[in-house]
Amino acid sequence: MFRYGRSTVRPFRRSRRDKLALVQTWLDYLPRLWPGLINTLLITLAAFPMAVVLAFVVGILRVWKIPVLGGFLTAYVEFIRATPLVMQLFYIYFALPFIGIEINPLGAAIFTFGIHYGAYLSETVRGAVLSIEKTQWESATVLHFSRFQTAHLIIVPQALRVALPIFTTELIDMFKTTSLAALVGVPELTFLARVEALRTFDVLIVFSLIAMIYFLIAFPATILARQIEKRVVIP
Amino acid sequence: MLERLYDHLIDLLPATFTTVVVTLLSFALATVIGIVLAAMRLSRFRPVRLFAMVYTELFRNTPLLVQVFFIFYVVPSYAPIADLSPLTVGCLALGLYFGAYLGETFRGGLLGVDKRQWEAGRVLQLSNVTIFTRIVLPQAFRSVIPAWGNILVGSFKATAVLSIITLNELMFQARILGSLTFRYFEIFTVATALYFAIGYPTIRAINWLERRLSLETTTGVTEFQVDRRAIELAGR
Repeated sequence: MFRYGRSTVRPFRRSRRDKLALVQTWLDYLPRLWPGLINTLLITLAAFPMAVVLAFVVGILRVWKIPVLGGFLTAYVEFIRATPLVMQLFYIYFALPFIGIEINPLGAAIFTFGIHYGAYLSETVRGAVLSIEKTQWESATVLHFSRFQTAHLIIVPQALRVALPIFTTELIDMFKTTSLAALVGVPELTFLARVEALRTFDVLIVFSLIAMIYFLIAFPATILARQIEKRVVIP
Repeated sequence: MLERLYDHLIDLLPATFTTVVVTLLSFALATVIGIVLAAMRLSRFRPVRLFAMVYTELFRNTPLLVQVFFIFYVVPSYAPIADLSPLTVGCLALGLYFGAYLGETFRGGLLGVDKRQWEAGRVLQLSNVTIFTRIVLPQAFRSVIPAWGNILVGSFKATAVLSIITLNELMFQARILGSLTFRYFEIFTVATALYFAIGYPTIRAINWLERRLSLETTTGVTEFQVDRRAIELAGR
């Protein structure tokens, strides 16, 4: 294997023009990476609402402790939490076509992220619902609310407020994790970056660039989430 | 049918072993990095604190996959080390990534230790290093064990990401076998079962440990537990 010896040529100092040229190279890559960012955001924005709905349904049904269904839901949550996301993604994309369910890469990614984060968030919802006082359920029963009405008119709005900080954390986490969709060939940011990097061999520039894009979205979002958390949290 | 599943299981076992080895190696590295980062965050010197902070935010706010690519493609073409094996890259990437998360965990744990422990140590004329390693760290460690375990499970699951850099772990092996035999469904089912067989007992063990330790926890733990949720989310 080729090894780098000690270089005999001293690296020359970059002139101002060279620096500008470097910036130009960075900018040249951006238009090629934009479609990837759009796909990344698309996956996030499609999968997250799915995860939230799933989380509330599963979370509340698990609180109700319905005999058989409850067991199934617990198994679903535990299973998702004990196996890797990549495994689930590959299972849905590669294995399910063999039993007649075929999904395109983007659909498989959205579906996987939805059910994966749904399981995690359902634990949050369950915790939030359990944290709401029992008297709320009881007084609703006294007022002749049905169980379903109590859940969606009284419990969910309160639980949402308790769970919101974790929801935002998970949303940011999901945004980062969508990069794994590259493994099944969804042309999102990381996938396109790899294609560009292997095409031009400007590995440093391309990978730094996408690391920066991810960071510039995730980091401000984290700070914003912390601010929201301060306002919403129930003391 | 059952026989074939058994054959797949035998084929996948060596790769499962690799997965476990990578998990343990990277987790050991992450723990060391985490302790160093936490100590740096408590340092008196501003540049040291700043470095630890930048490191943490940088590694926590970019995807693991991007970091893996960075180490796999960029480092060998600029650093004087020409070839990094996938195993090295994998352990390094996971170690650096989870080190950032563990740094936050340990910091919470260290802050949870009563300040008077430091003062008492100084009265006894112990050096700062001795106080840190012999008095504060063991106490902090105890309160962070549950979060620490969650990161362990996180890094176990994250090893599957490394299949993209041709590290011969469970996920990679399953894909290779799948493409050779075209029995994706059976092989992936067996692989999933293997992941579950390791991941689930570990999670249960950690939950058990958490319940045991929570009975006897003392100061600072509540503050830290708020932080813990965020750490649980690490590494998928």
